[in-house]
Amino acid sequence: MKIEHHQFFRTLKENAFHRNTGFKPLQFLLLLLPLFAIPFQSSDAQTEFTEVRFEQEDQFKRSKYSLTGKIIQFETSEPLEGVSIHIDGIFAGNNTDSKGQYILSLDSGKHRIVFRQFGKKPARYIVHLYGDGQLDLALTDQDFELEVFTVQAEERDRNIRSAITGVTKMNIEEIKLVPAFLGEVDVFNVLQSLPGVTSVGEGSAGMNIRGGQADQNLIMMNEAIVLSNSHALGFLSSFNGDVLQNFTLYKGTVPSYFGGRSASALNIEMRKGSRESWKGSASLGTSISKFLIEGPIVPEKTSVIVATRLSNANWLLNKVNEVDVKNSKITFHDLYLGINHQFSENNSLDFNLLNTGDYFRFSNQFGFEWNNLVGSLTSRNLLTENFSLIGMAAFGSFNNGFFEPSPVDPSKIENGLYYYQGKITGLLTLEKVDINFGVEAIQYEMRPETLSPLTPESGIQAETIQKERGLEYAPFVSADWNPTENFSLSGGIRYSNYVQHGPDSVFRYEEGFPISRLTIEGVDFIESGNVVKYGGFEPRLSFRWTLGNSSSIKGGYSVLNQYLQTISNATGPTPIDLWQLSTTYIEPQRSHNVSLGYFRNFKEDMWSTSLEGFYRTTDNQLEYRDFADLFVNPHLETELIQGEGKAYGAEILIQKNSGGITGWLAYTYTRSLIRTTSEFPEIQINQGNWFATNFDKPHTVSLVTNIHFKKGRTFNTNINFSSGRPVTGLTSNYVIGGIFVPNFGNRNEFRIPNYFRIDFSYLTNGFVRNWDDKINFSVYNLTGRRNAYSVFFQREGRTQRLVPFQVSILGSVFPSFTYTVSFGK
Amino acid sequence: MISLAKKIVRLLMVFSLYMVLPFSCIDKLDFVDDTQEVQLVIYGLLTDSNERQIVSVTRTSAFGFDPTGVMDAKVTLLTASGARFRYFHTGHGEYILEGFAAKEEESYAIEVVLEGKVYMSNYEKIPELLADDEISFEFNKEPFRTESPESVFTVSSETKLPDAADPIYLRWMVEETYFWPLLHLPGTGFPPPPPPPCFISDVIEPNRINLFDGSGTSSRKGNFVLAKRVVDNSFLYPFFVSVKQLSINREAYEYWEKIKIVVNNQGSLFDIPPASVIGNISNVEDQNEIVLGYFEVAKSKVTRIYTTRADVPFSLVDPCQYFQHIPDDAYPSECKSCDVRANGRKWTNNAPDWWKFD
Repeated sequence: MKIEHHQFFRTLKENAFHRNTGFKPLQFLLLLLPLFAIPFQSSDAQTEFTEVRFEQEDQFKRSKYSLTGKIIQFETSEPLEGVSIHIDGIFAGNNTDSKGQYILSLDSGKHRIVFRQFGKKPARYIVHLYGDGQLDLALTDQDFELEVFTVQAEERDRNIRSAITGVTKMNIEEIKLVPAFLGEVDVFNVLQSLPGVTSVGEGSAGMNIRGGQADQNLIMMNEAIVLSNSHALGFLSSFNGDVLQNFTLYKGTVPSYFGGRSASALNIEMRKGSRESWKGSASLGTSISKFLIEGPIVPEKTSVIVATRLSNANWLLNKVNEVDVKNSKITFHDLYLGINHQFSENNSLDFNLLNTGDYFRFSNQFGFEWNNLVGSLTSRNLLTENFSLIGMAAFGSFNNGFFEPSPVDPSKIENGLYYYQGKITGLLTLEKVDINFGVEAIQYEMRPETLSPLTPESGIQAETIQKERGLEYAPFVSADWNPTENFSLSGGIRYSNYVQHGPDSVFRYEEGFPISRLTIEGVDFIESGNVVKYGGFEPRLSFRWTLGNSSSIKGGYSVLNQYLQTISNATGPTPIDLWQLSTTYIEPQRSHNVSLGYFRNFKEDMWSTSLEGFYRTTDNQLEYRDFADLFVNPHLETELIQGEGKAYGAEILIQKNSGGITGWLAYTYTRSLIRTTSEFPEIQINQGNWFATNFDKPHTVSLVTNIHFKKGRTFNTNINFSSGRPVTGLTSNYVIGGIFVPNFGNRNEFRIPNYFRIDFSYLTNGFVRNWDDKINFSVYNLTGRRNAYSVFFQREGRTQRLVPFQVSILGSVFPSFTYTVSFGK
Repeated sequence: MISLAKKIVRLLMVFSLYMVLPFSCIDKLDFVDDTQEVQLVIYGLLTDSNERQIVSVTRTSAFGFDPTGVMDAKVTLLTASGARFRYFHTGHGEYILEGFAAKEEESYAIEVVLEGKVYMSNYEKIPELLADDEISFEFNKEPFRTESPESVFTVSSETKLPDAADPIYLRWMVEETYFWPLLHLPGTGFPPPPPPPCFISDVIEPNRINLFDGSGTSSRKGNFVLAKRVVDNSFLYPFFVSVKQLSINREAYEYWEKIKIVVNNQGSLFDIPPASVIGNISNVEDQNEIVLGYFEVAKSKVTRIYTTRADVPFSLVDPCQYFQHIPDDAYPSECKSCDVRANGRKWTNNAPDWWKFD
């Protein structure tokens, strides 16, 4: 029987079943594919091409014909989304859709077409296209043998053909290969090994992308804004790798359908539950335990996926030989729920919910807790062949708590915000132009900030500060235009508006003096209506110019406005930083971004290389004044100063996409500078001169290596080097009242020592035969290097000499082990 | 049959489970600063007690060295009503005004004239409220400078705030004074008189800045740990603790809060980044010149408590106990010289006026 099927397919040109358009009876073969696909996928000859021919002799010849088809997973018959299609050695930006379907318009003639997806054996064809055709096929899982492994991330091919510069897209299979802290698959950790992405240091929340502040990144889950996105003081992201599908980072030109932050946009796609069968997994790790279950509520119609993570790291704290750490406590959790309903082939509805929570108490000195809830409902409707409409409504709630369990008057400060997000996007696909248009609106409602006694015995007098409300809305339109094969243009415009609504108390300050607590003249209470309004056009433009088959030049320019920012005067960004809307005195940030890059691939995309440069200026960038008092302060403008930011740099990426060893080498040169622009010298920082931001790290090098063994085992390393970040250093000392006081110089004048770290992970199958179990053994900071996070100065003993000391957050080797068992099919 | 690779994985797993790892660590750093910026530092404290009022005028030094005293300044106390009182230099940049007590209802400022430049503080008024301190001490074994338990002497205060509605801001300074007899060598012939004893004084835990903001609390009573120090042979003889409570105004309180931030900065994730602390003194003609320090006017009260060897629950060794068989030159120098024993701290041979105990 098998042989018969095999022979049948060989008559249809080996690995494919295909037909000319109009030969409908062959469609049914697609349904039968799993039954007899084994023989046709059995070939291991990875470099062999299968020839197919499509002709329509009875009609007029045309210069272009269409090639369509559907690609499925051989083992499960499920449609494969995101399979990239390489035509004549070039990735033209074509991927299969969520139903595994693709459509290509190709010149009449002979084409070399390769279908690729990470973890699958590529399918290679020589297609003689002299008529419209349909080429359906199934991809099998890659055996991960050294010589046949192929990493596929759209960026590596898109870097040649896509019109947008500075886009990085990566799927979960590749994310899993980068060793991470606590062995957890972590999107932020992967991002920080890519060019242009850094952080202040270990244990600081947020990323700095191309010299931008952490709050200048728009971070989304399925396009819904996520404001609190890290656990454990920033060591881990809040996005569980088990339910993560892929991420797309726009660090160059941000398309006009995204806005609200002035540096970059990161969209994290969560995956849908299985519509065919129930399955799941459970993991027990040294620091984190996880559970996942997914399956069909209504077979083929409605699926659900639920995943949760819970920390169990307190036993590690108890092992630390330091009393304060022993008495500390750290817990966190996250829960993701995704429900997908498919009304028909063209209409679907998705519900996503993410809840995260953290609690951290350092001895009996201070503690934090924060909770985050984001829920979104997304409707996707294909209304006509060329027009689809996507509607999304989201709700977010974010609570912060900061408590001091001190013996005298223990207290707690709480703040946070709610937000409601709505977005409608239309996509019109014409022959040479794709047009995106729509409108987005976000209503922010800041929670009142409260100071309250932590215990009944505390004498702290409760205090409440009312905070702002604001509406941000923006119509947008963008178009991708491909006038010729070698040139494409992507342009768009967004007109963002922001209105701060009452009630609010607007303080009046003496004219001719800097805004400060001492110059308050009075206060105007605005009960309702508009308090202040801002807005502006945000043009976005990028181009691609292809040089030959394997190289291109791309450039872009974009303007982005930002009306919501964090305020912090801690050493680095923290998960409890205050979110602050633009007000009468805190003007919105506005950035101008320019980027230009050269991209070249070698050896049939086995190697991808790129060199990109960027330059950004930002107006109204926020900086805190010395010793700013930010909590329970009704006039925060007295603690802040605005200025202009400047970031520039260059990135080099060399990436090996296939073979037994894959990975990348990334080098980034970035400078990130700021200067305050007050007319009053007494409040200027560093006399109004340009100075480095606290995340200015000029040189960053990452080397990620993945060695692929048989049976899905991988050995992965991540080597990371970066320049030391700026710190405010000591210039002299003096004595007052018997106290030896260090005198600090200009802000961020010095640098801590350089940073260096090696991590590795070994991913392998488990011990138990007949179980689908996996082991992840990771070591973070293999060399145990004590990387400096910050510097402080203290007297050594009774001497009058102040001595510099460095603080390392993780000053040792940090191994972790996770055992995962999957069940169901 | 388990493969070698699986055995290795299992070993690594066990290794990771039992590994005891420190989270964070602090290392001394070779962080050399070549900045040699010199700034003027003026610090003055004026209280309502009839005591020696002191203003110090110094210049900052590179951070490995002691600040240098300024000797040729003219320092004057000004009152809002127009009176002027001149301070006199006693050495090392210290200027004193003897027997002066600040009065309520009056505002004071200081003027320092140096190299033709005039530096002036803001006018400050003495606060009206004071709190009541009840001082106590205890000896314990606890981690202090290291993670291992040490013998620690702790000074605490139970403080009662006045019932007035006005805000009160408090600062405490804690000083120790202990008795140290020098070795009395009998010598030969007619016995010489015993050498005068030493009274050695120092600030306990100079980096601990004790502050309390009474403006935002309804608590009228609080317990505060004011100072800690390791128990050593200073406790062999009477050991006095002087707790000086200063009632200061809001601006002075905010200044000391900033000093506390820079002194106690540990480089942690959540530390407020340090900066230069600017006070209430400026160059009259050049407001851009950075002048460090502060002139504070405070209502003050001193409370004292003492302890003797009988209170100490730990064994103490007297290095100066006389034994006939020990040669004279075998005793440590601290047994023969107050200066050596004081090791840079203040000392005198005369008992302070308040040196009275049961």
